Amino acid sequence: MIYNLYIFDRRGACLFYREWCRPLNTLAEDPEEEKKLMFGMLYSIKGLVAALGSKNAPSSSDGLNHLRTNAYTLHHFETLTGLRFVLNTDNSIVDMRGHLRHIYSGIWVQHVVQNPQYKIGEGGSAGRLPPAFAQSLEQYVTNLPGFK
Amino acid sequence: MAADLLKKPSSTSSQHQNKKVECADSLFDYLFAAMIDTLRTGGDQGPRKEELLAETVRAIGFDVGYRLAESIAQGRVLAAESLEVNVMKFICKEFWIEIFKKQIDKLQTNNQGVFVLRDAKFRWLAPFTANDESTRRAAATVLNFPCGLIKGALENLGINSTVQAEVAPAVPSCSFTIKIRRSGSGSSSSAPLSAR
Repeated sequence: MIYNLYIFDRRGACLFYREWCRPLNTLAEDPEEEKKLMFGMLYSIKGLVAALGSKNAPSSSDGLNHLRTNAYTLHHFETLTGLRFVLNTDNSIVDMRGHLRHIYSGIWVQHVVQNPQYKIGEGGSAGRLPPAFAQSLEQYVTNLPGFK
Repeated sequence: MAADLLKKPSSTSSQHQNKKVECADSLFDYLFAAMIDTLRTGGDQGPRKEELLAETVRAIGFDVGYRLAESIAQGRVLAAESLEVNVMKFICKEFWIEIFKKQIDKLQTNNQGVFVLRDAKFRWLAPFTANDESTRRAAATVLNFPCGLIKGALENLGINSTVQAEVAPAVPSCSFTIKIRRSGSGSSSSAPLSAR
């Protein structure tokens, strides 16, 4: 079961958020706060991972892969350009990073970066991303094996 | 010079790489020349017109470089150590090869955030062989675009910079000087060398 997806840019701005199934939302009145908290948490954990990890490890594309609690699993994929793709699923799904990589290469780059109508840096909940992106994403995610 | 017809990429959901689509080099050359011409003759004809033209061409280059960096950076990894040097190497190799099918000929740095990239045979300067003033000015205008390209690509990879270009010593060789703007405690370029 796939719960939701966030896409953050390098500075922490949330470029895209999509929710498919969210039984409990304690921050429903303040979605901006929730996105800031999510980014803040990931940023801190990345610092921790870097400090604890090997000094020779490459920085951006490695690091935090998954975060698992008893209720959900968070899958994290960061690109060279600082974009973070964060997907929350239930614990039955083990690894979505390959899919996140495809969402980046196949869907984001194709429909957003290569779309002349998209101005760099726009996005966010106002939805200034090209609709083709949301459509392709929807089609891809709803057809994933674990979606339900 | 490849002039394949545009191929429609076939997509399968397990494809992770961007499919290569080719088009003629000459298409870009003519489009670019037409763009500069249109920008020069259209728009504000006031006293600052050359400056505005340069800024516009840079801004266009910035946008293109930003997006190109995203496309080209797929699947690549950069080591965290000496990140700036690694990003510059990425620009000199992969980025330049993707655009010009060759890499930068010489990369120098003063280890204080200034890099100089030299391309001995810069493709977009090839038509400007005459040695008079107007050719030199035209060449300088064209060079604004790759400056913007580099600046945009660096911006997307997390590095804020200023980029200048000059023809040196003669067409078609040129060099790009990149000054990295480091954030934080405002260290000036005359600060003492810090241990790396």
